[in-house]
Amino acid sequence: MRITNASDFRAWIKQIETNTSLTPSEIARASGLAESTLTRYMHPDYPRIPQRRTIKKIAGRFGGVMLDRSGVEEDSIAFERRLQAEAETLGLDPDAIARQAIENAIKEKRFSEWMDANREVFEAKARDVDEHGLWCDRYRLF
Amino acid sequence: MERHALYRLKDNPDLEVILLSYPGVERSKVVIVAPLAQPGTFPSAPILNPTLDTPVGPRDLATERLAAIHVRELGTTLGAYDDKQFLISRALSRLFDGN
Repeated sequence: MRITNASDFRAWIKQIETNTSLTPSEIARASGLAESTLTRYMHPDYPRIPQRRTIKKIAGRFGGVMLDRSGVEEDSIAFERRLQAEAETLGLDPDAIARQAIENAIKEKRFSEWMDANREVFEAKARDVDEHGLWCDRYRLF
Repeated sequence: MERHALYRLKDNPDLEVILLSYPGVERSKVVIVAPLAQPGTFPSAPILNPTLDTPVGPRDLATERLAAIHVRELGTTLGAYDDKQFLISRALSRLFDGN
């Protein structure tokens, strides 16, 4: 199978799923990748494919693919070569770690913005509790 | 107990609560519930405090005020909320995970 775009990649993984009865998380784990590696790529609207080395790891375990890079938009996060090598020696997946860190930062930023946007609501909530207490004070078990 | 069932509390019938713990957990004699409020009577934040279209009319979910109470505190049932839009899950996700 030749991968030229994100749909091809998903079709390949689905083919592996069919052949092996494994889930995308299990396919990732069996390939030596973090379990969450494939999650985003399996979403039908996600436009990119994983980096070449990620595909190579899956192909190394399950086979059945050729990567044609022309016109393919790969996800890539550049790392210092020494860091990359050391991480891989330790069995770590730097792409997955970086993605997780970015996702966490985005989440924290979004939450912080949401709190800021609702500052007055939370102040009103606090006043309400100060004035009336909690409904569950006489019931609560923890 | 039905999922997302609504109740009035036995000793405080003015207070409506919604069952958040999954049906069956009440066998432990404890349920997790969150109070409901008439829209406009409770300071509501988007996502955290969705307005639910319940069998007794629209109610704001006071998610951050949920509590574990003894199952015997539950009084009359008012039906159940059908969470087709997953508003409760999203509110709990915002409360516990910040999502």
